[in-house]
Amino acid sequence: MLLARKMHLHYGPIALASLLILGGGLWQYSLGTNEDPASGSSPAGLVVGSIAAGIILFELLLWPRKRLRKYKLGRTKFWVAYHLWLGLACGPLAFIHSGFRFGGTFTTFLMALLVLVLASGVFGWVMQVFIPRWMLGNLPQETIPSQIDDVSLLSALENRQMLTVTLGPKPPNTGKLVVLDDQLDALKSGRSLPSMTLDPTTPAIQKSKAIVVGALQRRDPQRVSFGQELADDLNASDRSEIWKQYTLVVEPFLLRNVISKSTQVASRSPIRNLQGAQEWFKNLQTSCSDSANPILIALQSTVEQRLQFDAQRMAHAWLHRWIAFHAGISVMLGVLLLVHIIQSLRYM
Amino acid sequence: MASNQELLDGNEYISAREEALFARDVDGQLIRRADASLTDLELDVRITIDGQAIVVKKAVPLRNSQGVVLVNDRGEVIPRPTTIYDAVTRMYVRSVEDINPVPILCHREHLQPVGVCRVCMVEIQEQRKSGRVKKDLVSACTYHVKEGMVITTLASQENPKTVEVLKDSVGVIVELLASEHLSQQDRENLVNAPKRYEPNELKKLVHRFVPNPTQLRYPPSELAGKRGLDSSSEIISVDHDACILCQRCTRACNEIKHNDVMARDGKGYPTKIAFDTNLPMLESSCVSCGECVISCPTDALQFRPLVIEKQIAKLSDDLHLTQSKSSKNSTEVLSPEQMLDIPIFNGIPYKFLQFNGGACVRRVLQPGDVLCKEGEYGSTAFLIQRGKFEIQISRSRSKAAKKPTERKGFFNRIFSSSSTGIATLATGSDHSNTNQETRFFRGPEDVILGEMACLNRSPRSATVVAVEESEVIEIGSNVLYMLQRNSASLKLLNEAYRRHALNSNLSRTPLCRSLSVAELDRLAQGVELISVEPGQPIFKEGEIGDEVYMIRLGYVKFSRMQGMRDQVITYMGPPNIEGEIGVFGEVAVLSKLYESELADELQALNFPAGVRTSSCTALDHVELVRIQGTLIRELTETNSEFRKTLLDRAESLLRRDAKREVSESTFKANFVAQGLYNAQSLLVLDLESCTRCDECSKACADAHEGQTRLVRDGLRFENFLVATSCRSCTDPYCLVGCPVNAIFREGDKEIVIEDHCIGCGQCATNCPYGNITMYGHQDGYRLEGNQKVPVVRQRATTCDQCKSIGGTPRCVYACPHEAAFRMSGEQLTTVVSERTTS
Repeated sequence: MLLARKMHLHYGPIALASLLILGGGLWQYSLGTNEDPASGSSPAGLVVGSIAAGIILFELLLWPRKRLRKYKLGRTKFWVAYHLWLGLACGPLAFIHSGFRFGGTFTTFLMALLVLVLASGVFGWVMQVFIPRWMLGNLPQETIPSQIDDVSLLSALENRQMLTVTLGPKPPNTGKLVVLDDQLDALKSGRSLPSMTLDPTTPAIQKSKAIVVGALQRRDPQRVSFGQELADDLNASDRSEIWKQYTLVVEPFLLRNVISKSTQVASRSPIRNLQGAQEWFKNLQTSCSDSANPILIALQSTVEQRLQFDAQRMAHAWLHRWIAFHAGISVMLGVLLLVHIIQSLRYM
Repeated sequence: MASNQELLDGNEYISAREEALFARDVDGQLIRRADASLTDLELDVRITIDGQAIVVKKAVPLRNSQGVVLVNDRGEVIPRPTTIYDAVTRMYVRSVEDINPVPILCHREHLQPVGVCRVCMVEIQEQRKSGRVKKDLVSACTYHVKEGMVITTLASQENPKTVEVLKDSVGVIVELLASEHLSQQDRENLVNAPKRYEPNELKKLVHRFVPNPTQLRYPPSELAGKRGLDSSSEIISVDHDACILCQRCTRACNEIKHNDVMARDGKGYPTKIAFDTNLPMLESSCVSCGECVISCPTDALQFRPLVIEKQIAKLSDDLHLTQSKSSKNSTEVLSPEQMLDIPIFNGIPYKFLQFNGGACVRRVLQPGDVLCKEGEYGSTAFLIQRGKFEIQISRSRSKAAKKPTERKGFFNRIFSSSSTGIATLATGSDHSNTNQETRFFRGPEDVILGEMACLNRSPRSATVVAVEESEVIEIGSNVLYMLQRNSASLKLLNEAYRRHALNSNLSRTPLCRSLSVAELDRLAQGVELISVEPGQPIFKEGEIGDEVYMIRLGYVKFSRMQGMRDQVITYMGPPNIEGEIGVFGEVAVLSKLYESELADELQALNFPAGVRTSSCTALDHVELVRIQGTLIRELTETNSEFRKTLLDRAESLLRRDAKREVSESTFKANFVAQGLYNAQSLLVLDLESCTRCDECSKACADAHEGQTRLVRDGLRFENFLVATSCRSCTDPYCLVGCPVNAIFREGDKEIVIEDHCIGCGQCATNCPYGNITMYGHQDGYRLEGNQKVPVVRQRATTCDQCKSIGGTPRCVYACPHEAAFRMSGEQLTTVVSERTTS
């Protein structure tokens, strides 16, 4: 895993230091005798325990470190490297400190919590190594997660524009398009779509701006510009059918989470997964003349983009949701550790 | 000729079927005007102006506001008909000190003429087709010259009666304007001559043409004095009463800056200029670029004192700081009045100089003082007033000299370039050429120094040292842009630019090292400096070629047809930091020249001698030095060493071309398409390691008052994401056209935007990668209690590589996963290539 990061030079010394600490701990433990076995209260146990406690407190410092990004407190990658390796060393040290015994209920709970913290950390570590690679290969159209709804809205607007240019105005009997004036106003004023129900004057909303970078418009090679002459080849039934399917199926799917009504429709949508979408567009292509293919391919491309966004949301959750759990139980561990230290000092 | 055809200008016929609807007036006269054609550029028209015969071309090339000739999609020059004003200018204005006898009010050389004020009236006599001589008063700015036309202007000595008629006619117009748009107080003040620097051109005309300004013959309308003020903006105030509706502001806004904010609103007397849909300026989409104010010939549009005071306060601070540091050189910030005393500044509007505070600084240098150093970046040029300077151009430029660290502020930038280091002076001849460097001298006759770095955003191409006590006026790039709007100063600058550019390029080209000074001069006289627009082909694969090119500015790509696809082979850019000049196109010329010697190589390449082996296309605005093959052949006949150098080069190039494989990979094509060749410091994220935690963006925002200067999105290049953050381009397009010179390059590569940015968004528009963000008060005001106080609506922000906060880019510093890097485009290709091969 670590080799994948190509950080041997950075991680090597830290890993060595962790091993040395661990080795030191074991050596301390070996100093114990049968008459006076090493335990938490023995001198060796105390030393090892102190080191483990110090490491846990250091691990907790990563949180304030991240909050104080503007200050140069050492490169974050080194902090993370120390966090990982010392954290891994901390578990065995805690076991050595306890003399490989769990002790009472409180210390057992403390040890279980430590194991949980370590496990969640390792899980996150694994996630953060493998998921980016998976995203790189499978989500070429990923965007900034907070911008997914904004980009989807822009896709819907582009589609409407493209269909109007290529097929002509929407016929009256092809369903009703959702009115997007409010959403557009929100985008123009720099607000983010999901926050629209909030008071727009709140600082949080003012800060989150709809970001449109040139890359978003150029990234998809399948999006082509259509000439007006294309419309001449299409018959009226094709135009009507494409507008209808776009209004009833494609746009509600694209505008999921942007418009609440669309969210309900999209949950039953035939294009809610990649296979379904491909099948659905294939059927639509069959029912329309060949001249409609470029338009349908373009529409399919926006749907696939939206599906990639959904997958990206999922991947993002796997990448980062564990942190809340890890951090939560880590803080709990820190607090209980303080209690354990105070308690231990009282009985010394 | 058939009766349904009309003779146009004696040599063109138009069929009645080709006529548009309403092409004829009620008398059946054809009123449609044919556009100027390319042949008109070569067609002579003989006219007489004030008794003097003059020959002008029927059409002249259409130019933009900076005097650059415009071309159409086919790369052809766009012609526009020559006007009487053009012809009069050509006859009377030979230098920057000459004054055009035709007065103008609604017209400026850099604007499209509209002829709304008629102040530029002249009398013309032209022969009709019927043989009758037509005598008429016409507006010189819009009326086209015609064969045999006789023109009388106010400067005519021969025709005093006509001059009186012209004076009376212009006087009536000016008097009518004055009665409606000048206050009683203004008119009373005009009893005395207005100040020489009076920015209100109407007042000057009133003083010149109206005998008694206090008692005008025409009463003002009922609306006079009641049209109101618009003081909603912090930067610009609008006095609708003073507006004469000359449309200079609207043309400046729409045609020069392409902001499309201003227009005329209404009809008749209530007509006024309006912003968007007649909104107050603050609420409109006006970006406060100031172009309208600079263009306004009256007091209708003015910069508000607050902005000017801010500039002056800033200047005072900067000057105070720098004067304490540079004690040896005498420096003085010039006031607008002092600047207008210098002839070359004649064409610059007073309001522009006022807006830019002390955009010019007078500097006196002692012998041995260095004016600028080769390799440094500089955003200023130097107008030589007196003295003599030595120019030292090294053959291979060392790494860009580091500037002193304390360089914040426009004036610090100006003053800091004045190093107190003593350079070794060349002695003896006027032009020496040693092994290490070329040295020659410049004086006031050369007009300007350092304009290439200023205009091209490239490092200084030479070190300039004062030989004797010398004086220069240092000007910012925005002043230089403004100078280009005046045809007389443009001509002067263009000549100097061409001379300097050729000298700099030729002396540093490895191919020319074996040439003597005399041969270099001969070469310089025979070469051309040409400009090529983006996407325009320079030559095509398979063509016979007899020209060699050197790149001065911009990038070109080379491609070769692979099946049906045009595959990019490589690209070439301007002289890099080491000063190597890119030479290309020589294969065809040299292979023809040494056809027998290179027979084997040509056979291996399977290309006949003299044929281009690849296509070359401009990637952006490219400036090239073109050398004809004949000139090279002449030099090889007299210089055997030069001949040998060329032969060696031809051999190596042909061998390289024979070995070069044109791969089907889109790697190079993507590299070129994404503009990565131009990048010196890309923020790239390794998508294999990046966990999308956004720590880079958050760190950037935290370090810069909550406003991130990067967006973690952009184009992908292989496994890397090129994030939307300043790339520190080799040729930074963003620096072009800043009206207040607030954006510049600091140090080796960082682009810095200073606090006096007015938020016009020009730099953001120019950046092709969307890396400049506009932040600010979108509403254009802030609340002080219950009162709305106008503020600058927005300011431009870009990544300065965290120079302002210590130098380490926080985005890279904060990345927990070793995924964020700063690297050049070249370095990125190396990394990608290594990964691909490993």
